Amino acid sequence: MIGRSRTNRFVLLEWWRSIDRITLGLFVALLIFGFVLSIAASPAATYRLSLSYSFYEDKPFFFLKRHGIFAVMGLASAIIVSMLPINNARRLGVLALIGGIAVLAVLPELGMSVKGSKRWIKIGPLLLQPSEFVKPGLIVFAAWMFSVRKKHPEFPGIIILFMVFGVLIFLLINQPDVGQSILLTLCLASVVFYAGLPMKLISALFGVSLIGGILAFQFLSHMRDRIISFLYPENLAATQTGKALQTIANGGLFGVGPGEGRAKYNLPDPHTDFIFAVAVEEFGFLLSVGLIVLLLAFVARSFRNALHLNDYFSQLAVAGLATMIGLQTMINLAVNLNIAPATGMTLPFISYGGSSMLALSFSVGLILAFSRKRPGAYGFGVN
Amino acid sequence: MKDLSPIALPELPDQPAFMASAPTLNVLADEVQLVRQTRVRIIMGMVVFSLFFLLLVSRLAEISLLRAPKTLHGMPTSQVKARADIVDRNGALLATSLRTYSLSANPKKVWNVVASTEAIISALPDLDPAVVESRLSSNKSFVWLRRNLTPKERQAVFSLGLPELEFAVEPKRVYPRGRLASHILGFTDIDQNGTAGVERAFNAQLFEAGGADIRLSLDMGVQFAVEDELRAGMKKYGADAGSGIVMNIKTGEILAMASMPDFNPNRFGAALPHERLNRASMSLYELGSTFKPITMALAHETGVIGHEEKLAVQDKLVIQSKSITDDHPSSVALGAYDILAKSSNRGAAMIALRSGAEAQQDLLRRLGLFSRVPIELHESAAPLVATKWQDITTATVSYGHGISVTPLALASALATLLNGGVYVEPTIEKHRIGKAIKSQRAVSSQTSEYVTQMMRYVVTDGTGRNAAVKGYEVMGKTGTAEKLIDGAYVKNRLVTSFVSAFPYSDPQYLVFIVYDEPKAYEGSWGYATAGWNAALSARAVVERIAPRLGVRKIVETSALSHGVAGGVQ
Repeated sequence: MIGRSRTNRFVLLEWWRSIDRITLGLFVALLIFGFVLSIAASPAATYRLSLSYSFYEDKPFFFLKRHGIFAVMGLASAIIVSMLPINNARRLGVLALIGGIAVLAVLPELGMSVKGSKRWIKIGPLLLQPSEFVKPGLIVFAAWMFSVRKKHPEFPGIIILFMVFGVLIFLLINQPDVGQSILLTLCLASVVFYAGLPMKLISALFGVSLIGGILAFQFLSHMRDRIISFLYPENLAATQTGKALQTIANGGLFGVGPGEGRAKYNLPDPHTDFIFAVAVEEFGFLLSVGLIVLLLAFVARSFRNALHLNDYFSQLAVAGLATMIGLQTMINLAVNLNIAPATGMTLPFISYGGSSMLALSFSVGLILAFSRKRPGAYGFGVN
Repeated sequence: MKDLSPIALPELPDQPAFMASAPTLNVLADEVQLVRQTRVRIIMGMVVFSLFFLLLVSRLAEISLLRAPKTLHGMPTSQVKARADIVDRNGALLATSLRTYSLSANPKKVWNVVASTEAIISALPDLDPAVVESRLSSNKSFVWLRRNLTPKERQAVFSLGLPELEFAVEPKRVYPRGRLASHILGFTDIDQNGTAGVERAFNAQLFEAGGADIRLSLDMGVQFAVEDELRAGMKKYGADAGSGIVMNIKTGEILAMASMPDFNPNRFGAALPHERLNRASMSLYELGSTFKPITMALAHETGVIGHEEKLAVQDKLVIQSKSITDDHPSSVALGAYDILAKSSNRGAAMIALRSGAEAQQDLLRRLGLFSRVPIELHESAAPLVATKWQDITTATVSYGHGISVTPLALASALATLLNGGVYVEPTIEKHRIGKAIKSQRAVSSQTSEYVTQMMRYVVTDGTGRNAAVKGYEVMGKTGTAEKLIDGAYVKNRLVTSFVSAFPYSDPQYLVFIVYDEPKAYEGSWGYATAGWNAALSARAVVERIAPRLGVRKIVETSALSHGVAGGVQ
């Protein structure tokens, strides 16, 4: 019986046996949660964004439909990626980085300008945001570089890594997209930290980032305006964060009930950046904490897998990807709760958005692929 | 090997010296070292994460549980604005808002255009089937079918049960008295914003939440009497236009203000511009001899004419090569009373010239004739005054030429002369007990008494005899002015006016009637002057309103009833 299950004839069975089913289950649960919340957010988003009231009346679930399509596409891509052997998954991650950089490089020429930034490129019917795919790519690349460096100390992995990072930051600031730049920096910093670089070097990198931040504050006026208006709000109730706070405050312990939310209609981007506020208004504090716990559980489960992995590369990559998802969650929640200035960060798996959904599903696929059970993968020296 | 629990970190065994040279084991040890270090750091990362999540959850609790929303900034929905009523001084309704329903349809929800059209036509037979059908088959999401349905019509449509039909509450401003007081009330636009008259002047107050009705100084009965007499007079005298004002001399309250031709504010869109014009407060006229009481007040204030002095009005009077003539030429010199009673232009001009331009202008200013009447209505025109005030101006203004004012302006100036010399700002709002009346002394009370006596004399012995009403001691003054057309006065195009006030013993009410281009009629002996039209209308108005206003009628006691205690006075 054991012998039969170990054969590779049944690829799906083998996949099912080796995959971390808890991570997959949490991922699917989050996708369902996001779809349900999209039912609440879609009419409000259609109402806010459509030019005519009649469009809102005719197609209140315009965004829900698209969200559903993205969720299914995301789940499928995560499963496909998770089936790859670890080396191929790593190569795919690095490929995503290279492709992402290439697309970022041509964005100033071919990109679509939305709200003053060129962040999107139109591929067929899809609007893709390459910066979303660059993040998991860079993390995988970083983990790879560190693991190669360990095997071959003479290999200049760190220098290559920081050169690639420098190019990326240049391209992102050029868009401009300060929020993604900060997230990317934090992701790389976490991988560097996990990789066990000496604290001295990490402090030096921190100093460089701080200088970069100060320079950005000096030279990027819209970022300066955002931070100043966050620190010294003139009329909080009129800002999007103020409206999000009103929406959240309207929820209370149990929420006003599904579909009963009213403040959400007053909220900009209720389906993307501020979907969490919509969730609190309609489902209340308790269920929203449930959502946070679910997201935290996903991140914690990946960290647990990273802890147990014996392979240096997989450990770094899984921990780095989990950190990315966790950071994005935290930043989004912090913006919703007016702890951080508005950044345009989505809530992973919950917010509407094709690029974000596909990139995060891709990351989940990579996490699943790296954390698959295989001989010698878990418990150092046990197998 | 040791049995390791999954989370427990693998312990590094002390390396025995004999194994130091074994490279494979060294590599293994390196990897173990590295993975172990990484595990420590990952745990540190997890701790930091957990702390941040705790912070976020407590912040969420603070906002969602402790900050109860004071006001919910919800989805804006269509708001139905409440607008208060307008009532007259006795509370009779003049303007109100009715809650009506407007019918619209969403053509995208129509199943069967023909069937729906038939059903709608059966409920609202006055709609055009072709129009309804074309609207229902459009590819819009919203079409109007009919605005402002009555409750009965709405119920009929409601009973059809068609899912594509929708009702919107649309209040409609309604003027139940039709044309009555149309110029004072004004009208509103489709959103109930006042655009003319009281509706505009009191727009903010009418929209105030829970605001009380606006109670006007108007008396519906008096207003009707004035409008009725004006309408009859317009027809009888063939006048182009007419206006009438009834004013409380002591409080400045306007009891009636009418302008003919008028319009129906319920259908103000159908009214022509000249019908919408409130001539009583917007039209500027050279009103002629009705100005002369002011000149008499000037004479008394400046003391330029002795009590018994007579002026030589029979002689030619030429000022700046312009000859001044009289309509009722006198062959003898006249005293002040007779100058007014016979309406002598020459006499008035002589008095004014004696008083001087400065004193005259000063008096006109104090009587409010140099500025727009400060009434609440926006429809109040500023006067036309000569920019270069010469001797000829002083002379002509003394008998009401060379200065154009609104009937309302002259009415308030004349009311001042009868009110003990105190100018009272005319108002369209009912006077409330305890509210200060905006007033200012313009002339002395002696002057007022002097002019009051003179105006009584005009009706008993002068040109205003036609305006006399038995028992009400009417005072008055006629005014007939030629209209200035293209720079020249035209003989047969007149503006006639009559100011009437009663009772003489305690002047309370003033009636002012103006006709624009009245014609001679059968029985007027070819005359179209004020005594033959405006004075008659004024008399008719006084006859109708005096009993209503509670002015005591003085009945001359006969010899038989003389001395009977409690007898009718």
